[in-house]
Amino acid sequence: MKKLLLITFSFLALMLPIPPSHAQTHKEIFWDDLIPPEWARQTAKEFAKFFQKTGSMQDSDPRIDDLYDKLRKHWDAAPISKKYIGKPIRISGYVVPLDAERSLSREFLLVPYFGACIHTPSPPANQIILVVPPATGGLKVRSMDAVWVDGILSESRVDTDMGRSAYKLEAIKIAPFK
Amino acid sequence: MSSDHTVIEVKDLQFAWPQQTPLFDHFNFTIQVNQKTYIAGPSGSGKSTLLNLLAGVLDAPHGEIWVNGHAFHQLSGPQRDQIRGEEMGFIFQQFNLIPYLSTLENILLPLNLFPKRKAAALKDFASIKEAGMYLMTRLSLPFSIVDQPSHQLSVGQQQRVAAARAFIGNPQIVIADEPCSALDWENQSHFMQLFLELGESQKTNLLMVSHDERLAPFFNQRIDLPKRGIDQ
Amino acid sequence: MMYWIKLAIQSALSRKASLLIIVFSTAISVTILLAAFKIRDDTKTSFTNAISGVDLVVGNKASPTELILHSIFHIGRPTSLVPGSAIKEIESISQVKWLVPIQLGDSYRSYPVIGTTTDFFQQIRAQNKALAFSSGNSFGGGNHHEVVLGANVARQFKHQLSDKITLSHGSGIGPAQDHTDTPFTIAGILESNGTPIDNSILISTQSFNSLHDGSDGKVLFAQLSNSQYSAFFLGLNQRSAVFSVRRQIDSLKSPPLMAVMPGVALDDLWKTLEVAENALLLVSVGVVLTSILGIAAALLISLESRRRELATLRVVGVKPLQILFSIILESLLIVTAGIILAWIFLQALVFIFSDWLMKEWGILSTVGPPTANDLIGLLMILIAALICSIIPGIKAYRLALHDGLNPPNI
Repeated sequence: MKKLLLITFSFLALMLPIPPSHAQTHKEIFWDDLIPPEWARQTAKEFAKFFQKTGSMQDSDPRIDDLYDKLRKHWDAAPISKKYIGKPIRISGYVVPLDAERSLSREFLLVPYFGACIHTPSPPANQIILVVPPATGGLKVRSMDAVWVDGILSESRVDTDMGRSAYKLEAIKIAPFK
Repeated sequence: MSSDHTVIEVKDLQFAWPQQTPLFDHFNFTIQVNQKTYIAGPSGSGKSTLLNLLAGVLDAPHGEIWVNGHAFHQLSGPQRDQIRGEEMGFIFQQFNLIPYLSTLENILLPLNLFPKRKAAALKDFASIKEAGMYLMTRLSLPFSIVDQPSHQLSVGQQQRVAAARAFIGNPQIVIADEPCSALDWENQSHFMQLFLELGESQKTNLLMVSHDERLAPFFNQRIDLPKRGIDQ
Repeated sequence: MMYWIKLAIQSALSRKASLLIIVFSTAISVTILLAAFKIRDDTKTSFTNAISGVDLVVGNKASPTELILHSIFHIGRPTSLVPGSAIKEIESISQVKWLVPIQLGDSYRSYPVIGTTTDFFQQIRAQNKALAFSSGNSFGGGNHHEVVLGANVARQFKHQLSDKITLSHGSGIGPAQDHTDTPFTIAGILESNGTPIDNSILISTQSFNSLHDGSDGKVLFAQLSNSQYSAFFLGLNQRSAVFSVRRQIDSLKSPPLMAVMPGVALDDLWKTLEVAENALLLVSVGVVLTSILGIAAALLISLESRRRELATLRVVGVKPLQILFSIILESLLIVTAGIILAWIFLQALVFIFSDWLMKEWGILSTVGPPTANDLIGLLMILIAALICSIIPGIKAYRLALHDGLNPPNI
């Protein structure tokens, strides 16, 4: 089981490089644009190493748990890329709602793939965007809806000892993905 | 063509029910205005069919039927229905009335359904209710039954209410089909008397179909229906 | 036109014995349909108005939906409790900004009592706004037994600041369930905020614990260990770190815990509910259609005995098409009578059941004017009745044409 998760991880990691598209008023970006290339390269290397080590292990080997843990910490600590911070962008993804309250101004997370909250391992920190709907109210969205979001990408910092930042998108427009 | 002196004209009428010998074959007759006409015919001679044809309910496949100057043979069903409602009145042997309407409502039915007939009634009366009450008086119907549901009336009363309905609003033609046969002789005479008086005073063209020869003398024109299969 | 309506009404009245049954059956089926609409609308509204600002709800490993329903909507019974030792473990996760504990299990006159900390009033939001007090303020700490009331509770029982109340163990039904030795003083009343908090009674965790630690000599309500919680509400430094924190909590060995994202869990619940609601609607529509077909059948059957009536109308000059329309009119009148009766039934049902719906399911259902959905539904019913009545209408048309002036002797 854990091995399966590792394989899924690496598959997702290999999905990172995807060619970008042409610009509009809100520049359409893809999820790989949000990953600093240096971290992407480093992560690919880490994966190669892990596969080497775990290739010979059994599924029930307790060392797999530790390696899995390390991997998750690495993903949780993924840094953001400054490339599009402050710029108007357009990106499509899947909705993960946050609050219990089901209102049009409900904030939600945007993730690159379906089912990020249930079975598949959750994305690295630089593949999660906190979307704040416009004050006039956004689209009625539900868990795992596919949407386009247009808005200004920003960085949200928190004063913790980790000094971690995350992506935030003040949405101007949220539309269903067709 | 129909002339001004005739109220009903039947020319060269041919009619047969499916898979039966023809009822009418080149049948002709004319009814002049201001006549009281007695139509004689034993059962099976096609008198109900003839009445249905004159009422415009049935289509004649061949021949001409002129009613009150209208060419029934050229008009559509709904058009004939309209003329029947506006210009004709009918009295049948029994079951003439709508059971859930009162006496007065039954009498006023043609006025409520046909504005032209309502207008005709209002020429002589201030309201349609007055018109109805007047006819009730003429037909010896007591005012106490005005609002009674019609199924509660006696047979004799019902026939006279039917007569009132037929005559209200001054139709040009009133046709009666054996109107008395459900009544006893005393009521029959009474009914005939009222019927003829009303027709006289409203200058209506009366037609009565009957097999009771005792009533024939009351009329001044007579038409015999053809025996089955034989030309007139 | 008016005269036709009058004729149709009088004709129907003359057959009122059988038609009354049909009207009644139509009324019942339409009531079912309207009730299905109402349940769907009211459930939607009730679950839309939850609290916000909570990133994760933590409880024992069990059903995520049950945890959310119980901790946020106060529906259902607590299955198992989390020991207080978990609090330190959770707070040690760096991304966790605040933790508000939730204790459930007691009630006040059928409304739920929540044991929590004063952080509840700082962190929990409703409709994107912070909770506000209409009078007084939060309960104090320590051994003062103070309570904060939600707006509806205060209004229903006409409570004011400084009133004293007695809480009950469990749902409060049954003998000797009251914590009579510990009266609570009302320290604050919240403003109405449209969430389940309006129907809650809030006390401090210390008060809650003291009611259940046997310290008052009442062994009855004592629990084996102190300080147990139904759930924890968590707020994070970064909302997008929710996956990471959830994973960390899920992997805690002792005690084994589960962290649920409230929005996701509710959306999942919602999907299930929708399936049920759509099924209910489908059945209701079927029931209504059955009734309407019943009307058509009743009219069709009645035509045989109405042939004389139709012939009389023909004699007087009524056209067959008009007879068809009057049958359709009659059908519409019957359905309309059924709909009006159904509306009355529905209001009666709401009146009778609104209390129970609130207490058991947290669903607010009120008597009120028809919604747009209701009106569309009723319009569809009328159209269906119209279409179905064409069958007896055409039969009447044909009979009228065929019989002419002389119907068969019936």
